[in-house]
Amino acid sequence: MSGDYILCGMRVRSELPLPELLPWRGGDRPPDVEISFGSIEEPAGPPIFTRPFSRLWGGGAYLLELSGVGRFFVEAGRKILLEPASGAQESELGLFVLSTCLAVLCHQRGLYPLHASSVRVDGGAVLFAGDTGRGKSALSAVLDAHGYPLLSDDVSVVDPSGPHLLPTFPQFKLSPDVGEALGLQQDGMQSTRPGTIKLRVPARGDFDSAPVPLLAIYIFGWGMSDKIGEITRLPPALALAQLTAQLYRRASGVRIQSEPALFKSTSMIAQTVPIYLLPVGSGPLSSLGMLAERVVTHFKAKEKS
Amino acid sequence: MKNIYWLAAYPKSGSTWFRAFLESLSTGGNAVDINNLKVVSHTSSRVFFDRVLDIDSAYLTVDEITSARPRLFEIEAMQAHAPLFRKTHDAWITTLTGGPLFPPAVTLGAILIVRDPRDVAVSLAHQMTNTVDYAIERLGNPSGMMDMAVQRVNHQLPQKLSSWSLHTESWLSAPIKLHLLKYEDMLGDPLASFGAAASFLGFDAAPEKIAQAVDAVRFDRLRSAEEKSSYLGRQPGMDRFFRRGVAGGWRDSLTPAQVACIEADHGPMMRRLGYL
Repeated sequence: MSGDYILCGMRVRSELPLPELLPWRGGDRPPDVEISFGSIEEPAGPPIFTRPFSRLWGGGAYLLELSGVGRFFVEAGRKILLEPASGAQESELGLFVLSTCLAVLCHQRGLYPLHASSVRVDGGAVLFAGDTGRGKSALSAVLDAHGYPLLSDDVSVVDPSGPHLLPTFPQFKLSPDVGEALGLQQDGMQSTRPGTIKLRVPARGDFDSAPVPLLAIYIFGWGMSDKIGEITRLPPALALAQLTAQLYRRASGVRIQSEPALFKSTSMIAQTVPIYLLPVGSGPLSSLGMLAERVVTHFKAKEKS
Repeated sequence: MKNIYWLAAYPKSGSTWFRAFLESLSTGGNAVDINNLKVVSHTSSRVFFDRVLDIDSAYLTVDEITSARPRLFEIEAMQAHAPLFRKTHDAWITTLTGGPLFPPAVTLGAILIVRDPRDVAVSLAHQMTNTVDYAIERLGNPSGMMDMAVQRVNHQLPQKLSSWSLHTESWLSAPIKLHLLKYEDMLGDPLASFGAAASFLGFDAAPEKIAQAVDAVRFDRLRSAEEKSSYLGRQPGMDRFFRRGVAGGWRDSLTPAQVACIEADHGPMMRRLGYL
């Protein structure tokens, strides 16, 4: 149902039902973000950045346009205006609101959205960043099932000033093969969007939406098939480059926040938080449990030292 | 803005070998790292699509992805300062929005690598860790796709293969400059065939440079490199990517019925290319 929700610590008032999100329980204060339906009026003047699915104007106003789903206008870090296409499902609209639109909104607010999933370990956040299909969600789902609750899946928003992780919502987007490897009953499970394969899977662990200190970032690198390579800490220059590469909606983000502002945020995070390379091949999913164990053991050993 | 050479081939026709050759030729005939070929990149890289177009392809339908790919190539061509070389397994098709997948406006030309479909069938079965009969069915399927995400999001975007015959026909009849390169000639007369292809792509290389590059990517060297350091392009379950590297291997691998099936499916195109 429509209402007030909590997302990345923000009070979000939405006319679009967002059942993925937890309801707002943070007391009476004006909403930080408003999501509403309406007619989108594009800014005057030509966009400064155009892609097949998006346009960006000076000042950071952003339009996402998918002919079968609708148009999404994100402005000033506090407004998302929706113009659904005929026949679009609410869940499809929600998918793009809680991924691309959320990331753009974060860029407009000076936050740092990463292409990463994150779990809570020892009272802090551990992030797993990497390109699509590398196993971020799969690894986080295994950890979530073993007592390390999910904080965010796919998009993890960092406040660089802490740095803190601002949790999103307790739901995974998992491929059917990962669901099968985890022994999930997939009958009746909803796909993220008709015509795509990922499934919406609720997290099992206790979700807490309060911001948590960011303790470590693991970035998926390429390894040989069937093997988990040695986990190594990236030297500062490489850590900066790898982290920047995992910035979510980066092409728009650098134009909204500016290169120097993003470089400052990246540096703040990389100076405080260890960034590790996790070399993993495209091996069988049966090794997921082993990978999760390796990562937790590695993290705890480094934390002690 | 004409800046891109396409390196088109049905899978298992020798395009990785040719990529390795261009890599070596571009670096003065040096040995190549088969896991880090930079000169020719894939047109179907999901990461590249997502980063350049600033979108999640995993949340897009196949039609949405395919319709956006020409724009990706246009952006690449616009930003390039020198000719680009892009490998593809796609057929030369028109997208749902009505334009060609590979826009002629950004195309310098294309090399189409072809191989006897009887050998392709054997090699494809090995790559897919499936039966030869299944591979033959794939070769004959006019709706054939590659990297269609069914169980997991693949690292490559879905590609429209079509059947072996239609794939080949689509490139041969595309309104672009095309150079035909036969796998059998790459084996039988490597200096002439690789040399002519390099010249088509604008490489002004002396014969000894061609010879060095050909030698650097000899099949036994690629195979040995795979044994030493594995190959990231190898599918899970495959024992090796660089397997035999021969022409006519189908003679000891296919049954007469399988040969007849392939020849019935692809006879006209096989005759046109001199395979029958």
